[in-house]
Amino acid sequence: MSATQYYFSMDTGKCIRCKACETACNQENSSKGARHRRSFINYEVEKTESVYLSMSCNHCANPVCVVICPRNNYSKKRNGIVVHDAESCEGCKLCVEACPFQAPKYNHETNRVDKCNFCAEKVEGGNLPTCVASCPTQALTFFWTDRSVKLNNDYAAKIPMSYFTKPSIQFRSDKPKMQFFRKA
Amino acid sequence: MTISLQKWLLTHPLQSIKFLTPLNDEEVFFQRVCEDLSTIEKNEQVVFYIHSVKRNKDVSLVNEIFSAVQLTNVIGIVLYHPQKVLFEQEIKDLFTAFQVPVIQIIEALKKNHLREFGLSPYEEIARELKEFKTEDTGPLAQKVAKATNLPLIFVDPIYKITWKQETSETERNFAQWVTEQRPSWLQSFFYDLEAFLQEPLSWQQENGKDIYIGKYPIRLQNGVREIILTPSNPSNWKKEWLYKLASLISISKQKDSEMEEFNHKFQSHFIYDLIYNNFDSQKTIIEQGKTWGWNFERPHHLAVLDVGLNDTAVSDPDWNMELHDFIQKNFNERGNSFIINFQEQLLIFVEEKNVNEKAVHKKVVKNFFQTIIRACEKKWPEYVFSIGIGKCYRQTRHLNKSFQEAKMALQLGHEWSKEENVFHIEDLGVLRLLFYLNKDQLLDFSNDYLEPLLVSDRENGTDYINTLKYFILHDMSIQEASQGLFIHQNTLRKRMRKINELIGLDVYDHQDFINVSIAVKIHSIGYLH
Repeated sequence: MSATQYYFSMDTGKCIRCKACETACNQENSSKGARHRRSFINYEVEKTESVYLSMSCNHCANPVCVVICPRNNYSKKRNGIVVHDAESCEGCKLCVEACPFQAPKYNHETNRVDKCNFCAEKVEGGNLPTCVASCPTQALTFFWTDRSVKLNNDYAAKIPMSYFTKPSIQFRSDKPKMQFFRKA
Repeated sequence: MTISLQKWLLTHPLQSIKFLTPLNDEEVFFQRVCEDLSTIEKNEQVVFYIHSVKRNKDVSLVNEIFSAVQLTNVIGIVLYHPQKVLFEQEIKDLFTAFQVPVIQIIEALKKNHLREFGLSPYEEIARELKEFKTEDTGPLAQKVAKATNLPLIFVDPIYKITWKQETSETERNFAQWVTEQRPSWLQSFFYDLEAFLQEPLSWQQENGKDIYIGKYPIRLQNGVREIILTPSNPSNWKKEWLYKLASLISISKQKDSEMEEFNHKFQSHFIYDLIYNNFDSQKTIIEQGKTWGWNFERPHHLAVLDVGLNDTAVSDPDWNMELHDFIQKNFNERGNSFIINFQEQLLIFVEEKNVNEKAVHKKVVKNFFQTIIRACEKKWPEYVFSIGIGKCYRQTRHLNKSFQEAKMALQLGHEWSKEENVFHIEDLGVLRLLFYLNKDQLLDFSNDYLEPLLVSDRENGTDYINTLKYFILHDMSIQEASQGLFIHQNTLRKRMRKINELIGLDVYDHQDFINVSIAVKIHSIGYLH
């Protein structure tokens, strides 16, 4: 069985910081007390260069959350999506602490953890995940490939991510970053 | 209407035939199957059929056959007997001397056999396949070799002998010749069996005479899987027998290969779901595991075997399978372990009999894996083998954790363990703990200690972090660390002085050493690729 996996792909050159991905995801998955599953961060690569990263769960190949959950609530589906069974969650927050991307979010109202599930039902039905569908510049996309394929990751060396968990995300920069200014 | 005895016998399932004496080299023809010798007409050629149940018991079976073989009208004797019939060799030799073949069948002849001499070829195949199993290949080949009086050898796609019998001098010599020819065949027809089949081959004898080599392919969906070799250019009826044997094995293997593929796919899905926690309950795991004889009622150790040095070898499915088979064959004596080829890695599951004596069993399991690694290194010295072992959980439902731990042990073990090639997650100590803590806090802690060294490494190309790593790994031993870094002891001492100056601590002090070593370990996790 080949190790196929869904990946998020972020083209930092196309991103215009509109945060449509974050907003759409939140609208889709909002509930009382829920924190945003996807968040937008600005990372300074060098003193003169910064990149905007739209981050949520990266559905790692070696997910730490799977190891640490005492209730064994995490599983990785055959398409590589890491899902969390919130029904049995005790809210111990171990996964929240351990995840290098802070993907699991603790909901103080429900006392349970919530996280991105790649909009598994939509994707399996042939549709786009909400965040990808809402991106106006196609900066955030997704694809499906074999894990053995070596991906071209432009920022891998510059962004100090925990690559040990083998996150399923690709950073590209196909064209120079765009900035939009209001007419004076 | 006449029909040849040899071709008529082809219409019977091979499994149901037993040749008590060999068939004649030349085809012999007959007009009908006769059950009563007194009904034979003058100039009529018949096959005498003896039904073991219906026959006249006043006369012994040997005498009945003996009187029949002496008749010139009888060209063959077919004896129906559902059980094995044993004749002394002398009796068999006597029958052979009359050159009238005696054949036992374990299925009684049907009426249409007697009247119409056989069935339609399609009906015949259906009957034949009903009982045929791939395990029957050896006995059937033996049977055909006896009937045709030909030495037979089966070779695989790399011309390795997979089946032979060495009951006669010719068979032994032929097998030796095939073994000797293998290197040159490999050179000329490496995995090109179609070209090999087209190439006329001959076996040169001591007297200078050449013997033609007959080749009968066993084809599967993905090409020729095996070839039957025989050292002669057989007569037509013998060729038909050999093609029948090859075709039967082809169809049967095709069926088996489809089943094998299906089973492999099912097994891969099971293993994926097991190690990525996709089962709803322990009960489902136990039930499905039974399909392959795996007892998931008991806890299991899970290890990941990694092969280094040559990337092409690891991704080669054939080599992986060879390694898999080698381990499975040599290390299954525990009777409770099994190995799975999974996503270019080998997973080894070892059943734990006793979960109470944890420390003892961890040692036993590590020793077991060390034995595997030693054997693999001996067989393939050009590769580097290492194994990561996860914790043994009481519930097999938690094997997903064990799998991630084994991978973690494997990756971190290479960096931080003193063990050479077997790394247990429980031996990683503080490293394991660091994995589960908040990364931001950890990185802040690490940077507080290492910032000046990181800046120096980045800007001046100094190797302070790596130097510290070796210093920690060798428990402050300047001698061992300098050997590990391939530098002089004084160089290392000088570097350590500089490190102490930059971080404002004394790494020879126990308390400072602990803090710095944790900081370096955090740093190493953060930048692992």
